Amino acid sequence: MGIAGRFHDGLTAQVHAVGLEYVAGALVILAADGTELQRWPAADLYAVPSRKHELRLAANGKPTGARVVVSGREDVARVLATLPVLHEKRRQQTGREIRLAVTATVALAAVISAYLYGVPLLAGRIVGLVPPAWEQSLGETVARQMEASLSEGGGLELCDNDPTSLANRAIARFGAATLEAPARPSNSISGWSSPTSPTPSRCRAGRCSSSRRCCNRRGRRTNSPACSPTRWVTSPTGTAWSS
Amino acid sequence: MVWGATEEQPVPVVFTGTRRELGGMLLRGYVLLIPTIGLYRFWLTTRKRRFYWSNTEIDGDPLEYTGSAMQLLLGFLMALAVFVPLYGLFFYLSTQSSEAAIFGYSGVAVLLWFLMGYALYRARDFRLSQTLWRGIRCDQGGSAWGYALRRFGWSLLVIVTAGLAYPFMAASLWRYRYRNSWYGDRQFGFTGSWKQLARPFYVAYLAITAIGAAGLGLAYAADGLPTSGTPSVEGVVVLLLAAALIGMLVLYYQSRELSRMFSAVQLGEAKLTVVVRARSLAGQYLVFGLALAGSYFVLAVGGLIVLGSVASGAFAGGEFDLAIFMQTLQGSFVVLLAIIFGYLLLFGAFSLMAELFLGLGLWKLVARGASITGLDSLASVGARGEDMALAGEGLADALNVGAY
Repeated sequence: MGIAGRFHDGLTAQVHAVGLEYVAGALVILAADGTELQRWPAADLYAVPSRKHELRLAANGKPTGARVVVSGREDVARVLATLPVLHEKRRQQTGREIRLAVTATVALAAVISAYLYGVPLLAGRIVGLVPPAWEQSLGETVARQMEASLSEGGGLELCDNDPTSLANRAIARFGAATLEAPARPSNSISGWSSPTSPTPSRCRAGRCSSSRRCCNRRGRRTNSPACSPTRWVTSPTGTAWSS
Repeated sequence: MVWGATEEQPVPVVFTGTRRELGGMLLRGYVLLIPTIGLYRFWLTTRKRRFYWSNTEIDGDPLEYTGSAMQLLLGFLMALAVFVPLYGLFFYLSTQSSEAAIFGYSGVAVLLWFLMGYALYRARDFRLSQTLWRGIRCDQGGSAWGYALRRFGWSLLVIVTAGLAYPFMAASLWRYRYRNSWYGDRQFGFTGSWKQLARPFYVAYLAITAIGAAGLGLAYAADGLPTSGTPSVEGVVVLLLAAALIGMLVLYYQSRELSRMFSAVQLGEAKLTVVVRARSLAGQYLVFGLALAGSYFVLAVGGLIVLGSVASGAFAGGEFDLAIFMQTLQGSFVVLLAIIFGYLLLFGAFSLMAELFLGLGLWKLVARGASITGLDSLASVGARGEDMALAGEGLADALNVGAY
């Protein structure tokens, strides 16, 4: 082969100008005077990342920093043509990195999916474990923060103190519908009136449920516009209204 | 130096990389960030470092970066063990009263500032331990906690003294970093002190104070800082001029610190000399600004063409109708996707230009301004064992304080 190169033995910082030859399946590293410095079996060789038009070779079983460096496009091409094992190992290394990247991406996607879909699924179960007192405290904190941000410290103005007014009844229905859930420990939100626990809405055939949807003959809710909103079986306040 | 040389001359450091090569690597990397949900950044960081290291040549032999993306990924995952409890703490603080939240967030901010010092030192340790030159590995000793305490303590003093203690802080931290650095079995030395930084710092400090005060005063007089309404053009021009002058003074000090502190680094009989000029630094920022403006102009033209085709109704009649555009946005997934993609392009363009002109620019300036005397004395440096405990600057990555 007779290719010029530079050799670092990885034990000291000395650099040697060497000649490289390929003999009997091994890379032979020759000093300037022709003496053999080292012989690296081709099967142990691998290329480490380097800059353009440079090839840095290392070998298994040698010191970590031991390198043979070949510079120049032609010399690099000659070495690569003589040592096809380098191409194969580079291909294997690339494959390993791709597999690692894909595996890590799939794992991250799984974590994101668990967050997007798993948390809502668990929320219904987790909420039953949350102490009512903590919820109450959280609600009060949120109300205070909202009051502070919306009113700039001046306090929220009470618009309507009549609990039976149309607006307050609408708010109460909304609050009850929001809290409507099986086995719910608490239905109170600080500052909002919710005089009674909401009764679960039931769907009787041909009548509207409390969620303003009509019930069909099978007793299931539909969005039929023909259903009069006054024909309620139950209301969030427990009062049965009739058309 | 190759055997046979007879006379020692200062050996210049040479940088052989090109902006085109780095730009191609970065573009490919940014594209691959999308299908990998951002995870490719560990591979991109690794490739970037290999580019910088392998193109920095000292006496015919380039540096070599031996780190891998896997190490960075593992380090980041370990750092999450620190941040997940912190995020839990943030959530808990958000449910408390305003006073408790402010107190809590302030405490966390102080903790993060302290941790940044630890992260910076550990990140440097990792990068040094993954650096070879002529087959010999560098390393860093010392204590990351000790460095973090030093940095934290000095920063408190700097705050208390309104910045006047900064030269002492800078010299102390440079000294700690370099006196705990190793090349093989040879320890680095550092001869720098605050005295080398004092004059350029205090000159810049006084000048910035004076220009800042004068600028604010003139801008106020020219109605550039109104309490309501729009500022005057003259006032804005005065503020911009003052900001530009202050920027130049900051670059002046930065160039002096880099030059003098790097020139105080020694490795036995080998001595490093670095010259970085303030005008060169300013030139990098100017080129960066022009490149960014150019890229944003191109993206703006492209964006108008794309939006004109997907939201043509908003551009009917030759004028832009915001109301129709917002309606289209709400009703069309394609338009929304185009907006999101456009945002990513803007962000990507900024990152690309910053890396190509500021990151690469600074590296080239320092490398090309560096020379080393006494290099032959390094031939006898022996190898030390590899630092196997490092997983890869996860905390620095998570806190976004790593450089290069």
